[in-house]
Amino acid sequence: MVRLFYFPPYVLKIHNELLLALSQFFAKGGEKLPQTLSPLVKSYSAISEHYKVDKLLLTNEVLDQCSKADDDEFLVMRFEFNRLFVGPSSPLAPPYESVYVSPDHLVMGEQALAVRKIYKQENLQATGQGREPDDFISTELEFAAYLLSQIMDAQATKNDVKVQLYKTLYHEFWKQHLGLWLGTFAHTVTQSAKHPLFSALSDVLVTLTTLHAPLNTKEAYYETFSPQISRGSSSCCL
Amino acid sequence: MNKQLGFLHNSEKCVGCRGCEMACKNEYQIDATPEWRKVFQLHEDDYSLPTRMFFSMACNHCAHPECLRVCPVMAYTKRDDGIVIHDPNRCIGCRLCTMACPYDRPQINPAKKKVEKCNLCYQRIDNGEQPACVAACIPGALELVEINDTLDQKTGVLKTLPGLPSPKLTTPSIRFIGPKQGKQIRRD
Amino acid sequence: MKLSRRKFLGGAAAAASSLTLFNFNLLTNSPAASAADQPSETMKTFRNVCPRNCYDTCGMITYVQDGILKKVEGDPKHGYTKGKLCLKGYAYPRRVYSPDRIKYPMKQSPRGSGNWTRISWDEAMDTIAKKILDLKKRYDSTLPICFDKYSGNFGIVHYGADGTMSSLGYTTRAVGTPCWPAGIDAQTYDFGTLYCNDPEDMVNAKYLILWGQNAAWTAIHSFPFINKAQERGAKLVVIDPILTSTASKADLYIQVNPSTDGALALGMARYIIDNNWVDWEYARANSLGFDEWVDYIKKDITLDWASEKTGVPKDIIMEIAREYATTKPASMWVGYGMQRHVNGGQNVRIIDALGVMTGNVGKSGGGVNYGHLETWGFNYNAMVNPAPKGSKGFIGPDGKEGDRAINMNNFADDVSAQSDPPVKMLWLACRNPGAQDPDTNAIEKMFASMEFVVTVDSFFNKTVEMSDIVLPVTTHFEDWDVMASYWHYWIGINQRAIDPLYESKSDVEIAIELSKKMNVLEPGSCTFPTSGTPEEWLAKEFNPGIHQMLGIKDYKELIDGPRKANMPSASWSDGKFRTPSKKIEIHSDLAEKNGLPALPIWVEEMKAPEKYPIRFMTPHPQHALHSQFQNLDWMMTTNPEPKVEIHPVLAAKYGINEGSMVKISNDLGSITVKAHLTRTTSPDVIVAYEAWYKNTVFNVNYTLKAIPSDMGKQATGNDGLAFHDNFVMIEKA
Repeated sequence: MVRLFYFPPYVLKIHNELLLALSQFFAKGGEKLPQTLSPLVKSYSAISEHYKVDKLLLTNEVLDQCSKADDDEFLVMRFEFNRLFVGPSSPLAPPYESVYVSPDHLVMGEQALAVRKIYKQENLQATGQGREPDDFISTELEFAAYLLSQIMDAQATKNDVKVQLYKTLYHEFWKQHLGLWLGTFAHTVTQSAKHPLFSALSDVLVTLTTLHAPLNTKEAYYETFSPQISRGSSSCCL
Repeated sequence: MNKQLGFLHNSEKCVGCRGCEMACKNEYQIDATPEWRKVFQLHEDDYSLPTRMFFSMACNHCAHPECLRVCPVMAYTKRDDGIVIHDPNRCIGCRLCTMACPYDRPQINPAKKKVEKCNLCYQRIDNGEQPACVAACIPGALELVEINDTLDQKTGVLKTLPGLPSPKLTTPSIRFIGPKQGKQIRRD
Repeated sequence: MKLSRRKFLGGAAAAASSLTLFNFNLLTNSPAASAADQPSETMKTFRNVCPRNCYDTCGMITYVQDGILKKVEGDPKHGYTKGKLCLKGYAYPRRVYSPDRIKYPMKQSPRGSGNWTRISWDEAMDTIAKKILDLKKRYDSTLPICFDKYSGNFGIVHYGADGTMSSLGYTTRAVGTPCWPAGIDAQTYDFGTLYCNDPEDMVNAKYLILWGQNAAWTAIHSFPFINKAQERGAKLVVIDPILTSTASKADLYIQVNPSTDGALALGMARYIIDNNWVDWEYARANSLGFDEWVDYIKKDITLDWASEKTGVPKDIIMEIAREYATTKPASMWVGYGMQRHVNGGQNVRIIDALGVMTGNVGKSGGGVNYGHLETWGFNYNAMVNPAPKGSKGFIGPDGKEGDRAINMNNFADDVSAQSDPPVKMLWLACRNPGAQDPDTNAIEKMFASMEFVVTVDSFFNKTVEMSDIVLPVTTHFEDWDVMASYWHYWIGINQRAIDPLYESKSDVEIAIELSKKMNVLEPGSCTFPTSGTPEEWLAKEFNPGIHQMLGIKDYKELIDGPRKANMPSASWSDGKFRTPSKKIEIHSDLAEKNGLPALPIWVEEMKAPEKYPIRFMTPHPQHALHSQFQNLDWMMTTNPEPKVEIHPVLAAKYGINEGSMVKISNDLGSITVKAHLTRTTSPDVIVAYEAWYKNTVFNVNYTLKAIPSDMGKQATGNDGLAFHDNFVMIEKA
């Protein structure tokens, strides 16, 4: 009997933490960057140290620098965060899947409803359902992290059925949702970013999209990540 | 073919309000760029007096549709009632139809990378309803009609308007009633 | 079959693994039982009413599925809008779900820098409340706070914004209306108030004059009624300096010299008198001063003079005079554009008198129709709040203490001119002075001089740009409200169709939050009630008068459909005028008391100064309603850029071609716009439509002085604005 492939728990852990740190980064907003940057730096450095790729290490350095900024610079970063993601002027990179994937470029598109149904299958819903679009980046990232944690859980208890279930779910969620737009989103951020924090953030997002490959449920053996990182698709649908 | 459905547009009644354009977009929640139905302003120099005159055009569901003829993947079909339907599932976004149509009605959606056009609200028609644009037209300038000799013999029904491509090319299923101009007392 | 999460937890707890429960922040347990694929909810429908400043005030049906607004349609039960919207109405979903929408309260530091911080509602209210209390302490009153609100949302419950102010104390208020006050006063002097026929009654007219009115763009739903009248044989005459889309449908279009409409009416009156087509019986029985006016015309008005003044040939004046006087019934629709001149009010008075002289007032199919406010008799419960005890106010000329009124139509200068105490803080709601007020440069300077500016809005327009704090407001789909119209006779309910998006709140909800905070910081400092759901607030607006007018016992009946007020279709048909004398006052003592001519005599129009020979008219646009709608993506696609309409003869003089950029300027400021050559205007008038396009600085008001029109003070508190008396020079840019 072929044994079901289990990921190294450490790999799952560092991916999980990166997803959570990113989720909090966007959720807590530009005002809480002093608090949300450190976990992001920590989780990203774990990733970059593990995969040992120069480009990732460089990005990590930039992030680290930013996390050590003084009050004035945190203010600058905050203003740019709002300019890029929140408002009140038209955000340059609205962090909602519908805006990139739906041809309408509005929020609350079919993607929001689609992920709502997926959350529902896990007896979950966005805390702001009805008010905040369900496809807000933080919500989707947190859900992905939750799915990873379920895999970790299942592996720890050697529950093969559950492992397979959540690996499939994770793969599908990535393929049908996060994977569809994070690249374009990252590209939009790079194009509009003024402060190095956000170019670095864009790199982090791209890292996520490309590093996902080893977590594919196809029974590929886990390999050391190859040095070529390709940028997200260059077509910006905004 | 049993019959040919099409539009009758009355420029006498049309005030160019663009309700038809937006009703179409609202019905299908269309992306910003493609304009399935568009209101055009007639050139004031083509008429004896300058007034603001309009006509509204969606797809003309031509009797001899060029789009259907040039499509390499048979994404277009013509129904028994004459409606020309574009199937986005077959469409490969090659844009041949956008170049072939003399009226520029099939349009590429840059986000979906496929062509879109008016399908004469065939789902609504099959349901016994009027097309969204016709239902929304407040002055009653837009009508769904059967293109036939009876219609063509009515006074004032035109096959084309100044500035439009010759109807001989594709035999479009659209008829017009031209704008009427009242008396003008002008300062120039 | 899927194992529920809880069962897993049971298993995991027993394991040696150190994995803890997942710490959720953005997600939470979903209450429903079934874990299987849930089908979408069925489509729900709601009744809404477009709350914009528009004649048509359309009934809407909103389609919602899974709590998401899917599309909108007209309400077929509405007898005037008959199940159809307009191009702006159909674009509403783009507005609700635009990624550009302001989501959270935010503060700018410093103002004008573009550096915004997101704050919680609590912090926003705290900052605002502390500022209010600080100003109150320093100046011993809340008069340094100035409130400017107008027509961004005309829903009755939105008067809660005004209520916010009155509950704080006595404040400085922008009083008046930029829109239609001159004509209102004219009809007030003449009839006692403005009161038009039911527009659905236009089908009965045998002759229709649209005077300075562009229904095709501003009241499209009236067209079927006009068309019906035409089918029944009515002749449509449109009088307008611009050959609008409406004028294009006229049987007879008259391009009158701008601002000389009164002269045209007087010329007509002269001819009517000469031919004895006057309805002496009606005029003498129902009015005061009619004979006096007739004498004036006989003495001072000739057809030659009228023809020269207006640019209209004598025989045409004679033709329409005869037709209007002898065709029964004949209806006149006086537009608001027509009275946006320095003699606008007077011109409306003359046209009113023309209606009286031909016996067309008070008749079905007739009337001198301008607008009405008959169906607006709600409680305004949200608006009326007593000032807190001990509030100090402004002692008015009548000796009473109250709010300090400033002129909404001279906003920048008036605010800056206040002293004792000066204005230090602004609150903007349902209003965008950065785009809509005249003299944008002066507005910018005045804003910059404020200590604190709060704006309540949904999109990042110029006014928000110049604010310290912006508060995100709900769209009407996220609000409970009730709407009347100032044109047709229907009233409709507006249900909350979807939850407010992000952290947006309605004006009443904002008032409640502010009141709570104020009273925590200083008990008794704000009297605005701090409870009540949005629906409860709506319910409080209804009274027996409204119930009776609509034939309902409870506001909830409106959820089944809008209702028409049971009023006679012809206004003034009962002859009960509301002037001091109870008769039509052709001779108006009240007007005279206010420094105006007692009679509807001719008052000279503004002439072009030598330096700025071209008149720059800035009427309402087609794709927008002031600064709303044009910024939406569908509108930007169908109408991507502003244009200025120039007559080819004028264009040739300046070497301007189709598509050239033109600089339009005067001593106030300048704008640069693309030219469109057309003979639908005249060689001395250029036309650009006022609107706010996304991401441009285009704003006609950079060149517009705050020139007052002649009337408005009597009924609305301040004179109006002569928007169309704007003179400029042009050059190829």
